[in-house]
Amino acid sequence: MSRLPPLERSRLDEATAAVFDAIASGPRGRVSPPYQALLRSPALAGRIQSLGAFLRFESAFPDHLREFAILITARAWNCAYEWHAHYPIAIAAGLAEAIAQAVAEGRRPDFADAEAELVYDFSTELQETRRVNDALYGRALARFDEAGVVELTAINGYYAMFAMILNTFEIGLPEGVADPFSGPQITS
Amino acid sequence: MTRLTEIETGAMTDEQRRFYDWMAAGPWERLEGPFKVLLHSPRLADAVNQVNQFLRGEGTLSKRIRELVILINARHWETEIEWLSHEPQARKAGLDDAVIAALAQGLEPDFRADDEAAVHAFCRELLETRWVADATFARARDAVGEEGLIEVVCTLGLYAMLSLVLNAFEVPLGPGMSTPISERRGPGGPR
Repeated sequence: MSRLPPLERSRLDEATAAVFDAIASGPRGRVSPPYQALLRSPALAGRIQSLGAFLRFESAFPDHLREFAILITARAWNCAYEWHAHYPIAIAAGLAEAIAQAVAEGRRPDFADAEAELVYDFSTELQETRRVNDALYGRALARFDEAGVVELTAINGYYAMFAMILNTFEIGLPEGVADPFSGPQITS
Repeated sequence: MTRLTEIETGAMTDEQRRFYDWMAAGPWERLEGPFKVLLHSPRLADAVNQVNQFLRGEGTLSKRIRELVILINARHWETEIEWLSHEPQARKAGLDDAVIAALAQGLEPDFRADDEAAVHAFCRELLETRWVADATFARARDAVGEEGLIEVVCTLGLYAMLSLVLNAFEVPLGPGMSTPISERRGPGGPR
């Protein structure tokens, strides 16, 4: 049970309702539970959704790699809701199920895709050690160039922020959905 | 050897130049820290800046609490440039020197203000365990309000993103910055 009750559209003030409608009528098509939490600060919610919309819908960073980085972040922050929301998007974008499954279990996947392996190494090292080593940075730069590395890093940060929101307000899995995670937890 | 390639104004695309000029016209008069990196993706830079502008000037949180959250974040991610640029702002906003010194050393500060203690406990618990207990949540919400707590979480999250950008690109310290927090490591610091 969430620590915040759901918002009812009909009871919102005008400013909040405007942001609610902008999110619902955009590419997301609905106001998901994390945005319902954010709408307690409507102007902030609007700006955060613009940042998310850039990363998700406008950035040139490949969809399956973005979604893979989101799943790695969700696992690193032990955020089952984020995993549950993005797993189908990741698979639809072309991420192999076996790769996602390994991350859910806290194992290093066997990679056939060198770019996915690079996203895994970069995101995992960044989330766990707060840094990336020179060789890894060099590999990422050679493959994705500066704009791509910036965007990959921003994806790690943005979805960490969302995990913080979701975990703070205990926005959990829908009823009947099993916890996707097993194996060791990453903590600081 | 620096990882960051700064983009010369003459080499900027139109989008980059627009963002650069907009930032240069503001109070900083130039691109600071993470925005030098983010400029490689100018629409991302603009979107991040829009969130940051809200958190820095348009929200309900006091500057004192906001800067406390930013210092907790900088200490957690060991982002020296962020710590060093925010330490004076935190002091100016009214955070005690003793609190700042304890945070730098990774020690538990002896807070005189209840709201600082509540927000600090909340942030540390969220960063370290990825979760917050009911009592920690309730105490922080009662201290800053529901809207304020959203701003605390978003500040912690947005500055985590900025820390990752600064750390991944190893953005160097600016002129006049010294005494990196890595030299003041204590319990609760990095592994």
